[in-house]
Amino acid sequence: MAQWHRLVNVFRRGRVSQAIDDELRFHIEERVDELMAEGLGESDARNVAARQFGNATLYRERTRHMNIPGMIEDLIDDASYAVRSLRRTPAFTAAAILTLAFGIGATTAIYSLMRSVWLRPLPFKEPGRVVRIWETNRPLGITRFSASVLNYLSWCERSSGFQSLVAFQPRSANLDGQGDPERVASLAVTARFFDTLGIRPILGRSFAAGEDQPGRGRVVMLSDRLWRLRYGGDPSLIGRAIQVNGESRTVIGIAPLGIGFTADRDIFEPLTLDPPHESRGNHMIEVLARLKPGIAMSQAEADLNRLAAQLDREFPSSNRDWRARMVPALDWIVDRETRTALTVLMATAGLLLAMACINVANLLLARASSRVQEFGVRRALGAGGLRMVRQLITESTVLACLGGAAGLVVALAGLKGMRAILPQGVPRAAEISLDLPVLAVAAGLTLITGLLFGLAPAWSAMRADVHASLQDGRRTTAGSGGLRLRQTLVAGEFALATVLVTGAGLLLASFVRIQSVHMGFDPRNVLTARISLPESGYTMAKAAGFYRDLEAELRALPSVQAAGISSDVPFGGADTQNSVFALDNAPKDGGPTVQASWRVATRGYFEALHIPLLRGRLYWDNEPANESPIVLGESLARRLWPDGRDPIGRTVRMGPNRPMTVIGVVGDVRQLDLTANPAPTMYPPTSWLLWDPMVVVIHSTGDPLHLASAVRHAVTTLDSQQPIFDVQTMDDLIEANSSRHRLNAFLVGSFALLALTLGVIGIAGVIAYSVIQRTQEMAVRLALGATPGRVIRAVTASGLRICAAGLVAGLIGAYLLGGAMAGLLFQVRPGDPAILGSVAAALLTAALVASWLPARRISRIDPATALRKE
Amino acid sequence: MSKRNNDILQGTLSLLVLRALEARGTMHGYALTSHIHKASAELLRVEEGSLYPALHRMEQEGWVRAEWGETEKGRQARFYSLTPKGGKQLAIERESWERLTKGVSRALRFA
Repeated sequence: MAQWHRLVNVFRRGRVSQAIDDELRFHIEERVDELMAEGLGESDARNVAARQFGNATLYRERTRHMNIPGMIEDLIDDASYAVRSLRRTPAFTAAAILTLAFGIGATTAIYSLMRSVWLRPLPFKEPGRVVRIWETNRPLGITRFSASVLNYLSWCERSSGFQSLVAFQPRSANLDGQGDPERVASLAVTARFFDTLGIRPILGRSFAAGEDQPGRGRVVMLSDRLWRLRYGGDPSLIGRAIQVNGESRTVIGIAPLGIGFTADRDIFEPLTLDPPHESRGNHMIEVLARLKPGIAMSQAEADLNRLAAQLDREFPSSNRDWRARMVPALDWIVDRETRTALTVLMATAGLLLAMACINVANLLLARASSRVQEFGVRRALGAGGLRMVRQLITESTVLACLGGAAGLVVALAGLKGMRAILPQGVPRAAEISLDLPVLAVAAGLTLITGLLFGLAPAWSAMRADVHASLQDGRRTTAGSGGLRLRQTLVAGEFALATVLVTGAGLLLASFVRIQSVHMGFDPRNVLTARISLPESGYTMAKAAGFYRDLEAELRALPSVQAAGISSDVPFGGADTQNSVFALDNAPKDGGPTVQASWRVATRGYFEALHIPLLRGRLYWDNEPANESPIVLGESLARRLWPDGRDPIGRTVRMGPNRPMTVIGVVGDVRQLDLTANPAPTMYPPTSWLLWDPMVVVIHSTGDPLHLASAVRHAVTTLDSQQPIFDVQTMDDLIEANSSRHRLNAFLVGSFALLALTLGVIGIAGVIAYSVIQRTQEMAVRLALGATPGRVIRAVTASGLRICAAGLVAGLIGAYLLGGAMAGLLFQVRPGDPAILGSVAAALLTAALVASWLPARRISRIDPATALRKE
Repeated sequence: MSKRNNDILQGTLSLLVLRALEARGTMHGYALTSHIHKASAELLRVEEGSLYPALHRMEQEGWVRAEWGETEKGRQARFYSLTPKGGKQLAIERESWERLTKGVSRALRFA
């Protein structure tokens, strides 16, 4: 009933206030009557009654606060008063809103990135129970590797910790038949893949049990994107056949946009496992599993490793020392580097927001000191102390809300920019949006910041002394206490700016070092493109002939300096590995087995990339097919023969293959990551194996992209049905690889720049304020003979002292926090003295300028005028 | 302004108001102050600044009901009366007050 009453009152606020006034007036009238009955005249009685009654306004307010509508009414009064007083100082208001907009906007944008990539649950049913399983091999130094088909099948049959296991394999496919031929990324999955993860198709069905058996895989699912783009979102496509890799396949369903770990797959096909034709040593599929209810991941892992040890004993020749390792699916999808980067970015944005709060608090304090008289008058007229604090908090909240609204605009713009520059590899980034939880966080941030930066001025208003402020309006009651508070705030702000600028400096230095890293090849003027020959039309011999002819055609093109063919290029994104050992230093004689990357390559590949030949020779164009030559990378040769024997002419055995004779040693090349040391690599010839797809690598004398159409033409003259795809320059591939570092440096760098700006504004504000406040003091000094220059220097020095205090605290903080971002740094230590030194120098310079500019005003003080005011 | 010693102890105002309404039925605010003043043999004086906020709070709690009515002199006044819920609250507050005073006076005697 009471609640109903309150609720009803909300809709008749005016009447409540009126009613309270009436009630209090009645009280006074009764008292007047009583006093008159005691013999006083009416006007005396009225005076006595009013005096005895006391502060009617205050009582009315207190009474109103017992009613929700009364409180709302006050809130609206406060808010409209706040808006009016903010409008009186437009410069202050604009500065504060802009500062807050950047703080709240940056924090919101980064939070929404973090939420979309990391915090948001995976689109799986009970995502916490889905794990990713790799194989590991400790003696070979392999910590995560694809699983072998036969091991996977043994796991499915004999492990006990999983509800079900599924496998997948990224592939690519040609879409031909109706429409232009198109190369699309495909994911081959076992039949229970979608059911196990709990991903529902948006149309049609997912794969049924048994559809991954040999001879039954004539079905396909499409991604939502491909279905809309290529087939116009036509629902009747379900049940119809399309041509994939020259074969007819029935479309059974459409997969939703996000399947959690990859957004770029356009078709899904059954992964057909064919045990009779598999070797247990052939590791080529990726495994996901759903844990049984009540089974912990560690239990399942221990159980799986017991099974792996058993399989090791059962198949010693092909399965030696292979074990399993598992992590929760989210840990696999969002790797540690991404998490570190997101955490660092989030912390950076948070620091920026804290600085924005301090800055606005400072602005408000400055403003409060010029409003001392206003506060004094209001106190004298009977406003309660708490009431004044509430008024000020309301003002700062109104300010925060305006800043928050502007911040949303900043966040939207920031997200749009981020979507454009985010590196390809960032998972789930395509789905970034300002959704409800993000908006809720932004709203929360806004309110909290309003309270935070409102506290300082409210606190000093609470302490305001009515008498003093009314006696002398010019002298602020905040006085030196207020100035000290502001100096402390600015020092804190400078400390935060130091942390941010240092972080940005470290990332920038890393980025510069990454740019100048020695890659082992020359990426300039190199074009790469991929070709996939369908197995149906090409035997191994025919394909080899095709590539030999193509290489010759390409070399004959004008402006081509060198052209070669390989199974992959550096920074192509994929890796192929095998174990290898030297026959004359075999494991049984105590020699090492090395897990090394391999790339099939022709002579032209080394020439086009300018990979230096260190010993021996490269492949001839007509290398005799009965020989088994191989070219090794330098560090692999050193690992195989640590005693420094000349590798040329020695034989190595790679996996289960026949021995190969080393004919040449080439320089090491960074293959996968600019920041990782070159992996040991071997380069078997194209006569040993052809990969699908193969890459052509062309070194041009001019802009390599001008060659693209000539390359396309060369391919179609050999086979008119073959598209080339992934046409990219080597520079672009490298740039894509370093884009994470660029993005980190760019984002943290821009935050640091904003932070530095805020810090400079803060210090300039405090100095300007102290100059105004100490005008009389300065005038006295000038009148007594101090030169303006000396006074300016003294004031500037006081600014520098504040900054120096903040700087020292900030450098210590940056050093301590630097460890957290070590994972993002490259060849730079968090405590790098050169970087810390330049940060300190830059900040001190900024502080010097920021203190000196407002201090110059002192020279404009006319002692006579200033002292007369006193 | 020196502190008056007949200020009403924090929290006892509602007890006094509820009891007054129980004893006298419907009353307006002014009558309540006079009643408490007289009933306490002029020892207690209710501050207007506390009374009206308290009355409105008690109304929101549902302990008292308020209605506008006319006094004998023909003035519009807000009359308060006790609700059943207020009756229960009075019993609770009276019980805790008695426990408090008993405890305090014992403590003063024996401590």
